[in-house]
Amino acid sequence: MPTRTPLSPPPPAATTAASPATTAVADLSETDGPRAAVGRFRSPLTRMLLGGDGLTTTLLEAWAGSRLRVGGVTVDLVRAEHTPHGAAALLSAAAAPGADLLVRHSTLTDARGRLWSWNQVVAAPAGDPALRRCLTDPAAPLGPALRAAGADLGRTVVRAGVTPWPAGPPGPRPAAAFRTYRLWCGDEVLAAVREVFNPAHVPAELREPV
Amino acid sequence: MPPEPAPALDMPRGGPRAARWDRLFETDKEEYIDRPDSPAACRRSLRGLDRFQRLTLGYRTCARLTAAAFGPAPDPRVLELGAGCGRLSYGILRRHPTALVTASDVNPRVVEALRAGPLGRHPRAGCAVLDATSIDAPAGAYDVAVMAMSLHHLPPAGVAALLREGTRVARTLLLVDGWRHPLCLGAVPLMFLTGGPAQAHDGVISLRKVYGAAAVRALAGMCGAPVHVDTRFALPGYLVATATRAPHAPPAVAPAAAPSPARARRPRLRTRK
Repeated sequence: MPTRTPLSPPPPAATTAASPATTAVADLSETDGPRAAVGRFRSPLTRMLLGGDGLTTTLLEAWAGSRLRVGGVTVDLVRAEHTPHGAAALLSAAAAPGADLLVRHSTLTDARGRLWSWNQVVAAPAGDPALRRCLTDPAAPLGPALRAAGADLGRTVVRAGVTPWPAGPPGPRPAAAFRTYRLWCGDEVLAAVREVFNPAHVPAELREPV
Repeated sequence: MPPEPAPALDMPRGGPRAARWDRLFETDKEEYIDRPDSPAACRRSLRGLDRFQRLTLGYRTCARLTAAAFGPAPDPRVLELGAGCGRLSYGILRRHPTALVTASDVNPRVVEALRAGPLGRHPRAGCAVLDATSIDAPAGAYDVAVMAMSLHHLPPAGVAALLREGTRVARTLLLVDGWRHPLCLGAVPLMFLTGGPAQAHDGVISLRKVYGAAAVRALAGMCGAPVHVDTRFALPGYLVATATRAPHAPPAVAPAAAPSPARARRPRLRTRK
């Protein structure tokens, strides 16, 4: 059973070294831990977004200045050993090899059709039917839907860093900020969530090159 | 090291009802190009394979099949999975002046080589490190995803994951590989001529490992997503599988946790006679 530790605020800014856009995945939390990894982003807004414990959709809506709508939703049943980025390992007991897990992919776009984030959610299919309906609902962002269903949500960031932005046109892929967190419902891990943010809106520059 | 395939997906390459001769024909030997301990033989085999595909117009055939898959789209977005030397991507770009092509491979060294070549300088091309069984891209990011001559390198569980992920990120997933029949071994002498013993070795193993049409259809039925596959034969000896995904439909999930034995009993095979 994973332990739940609240995320503390990121450390204050220290240096201002420029960071080139990179196309390689850099999981900064591997060397620094998730808290320090979030602190390595130069933009305070990015640090707030990655380190926040509240609803990502709400934060992004405040940033975008408009309502965000969910799109491109697919929900598949995937064997635990084939979940993206080893997400099953974050789900503890539910993710035994051979178990089927729900994998939901979605995007958030604003009223002008600009893409803000691409999200992967991995969750055990069993549990409260109301919460499961939220996971498979293609029309609503997951966090607000779960809150409306009465879930007591918490988040623990386990990974953060930069990764190639997957939704751009062909050509060099700019670096995008990402975070992976456990989504708690009470004392149970409900899902493992990976969010990648469009670098056109959410700056992914680091204080120091990776 | 890739994970072991789940027992329920560990089916014969000829399909769930493969004949006895087909099961004996199958092999679990590894090709040189799948073995990290023989880099020299791997290089010889890859060079020979490239020559073989050019000689038999394999790249041209695959580019034509890809074009047929994206149809009259004005600026088709194409993703090549397992691009290798990238000749298919380059062929698509030359054949279609408005196509936007992303050549991808799971091996970062291969992608570096692609970036250093003509694809890296092409204004309508991009190169990316992507795992075909877990693709980092939003749904519908491409019109067509194509994997040519590489399907047999994946275990059955990998093929199921490819069908699920390929149809998620692309409107159409096109798979082209050798046709599963012992008569296709007649191409081995030509492989020997184009690539020597190394390619003949890999060619024989490839032809014994390629998936039958029934296997691809069965794996699509078990991949965990609403995927529909059409399969057909194409000259001179290709299996062409075109996979598409039904509009969003939440997967049917039992309320209680369903471990794999219970799932294995569920009649989820979608086979065609």
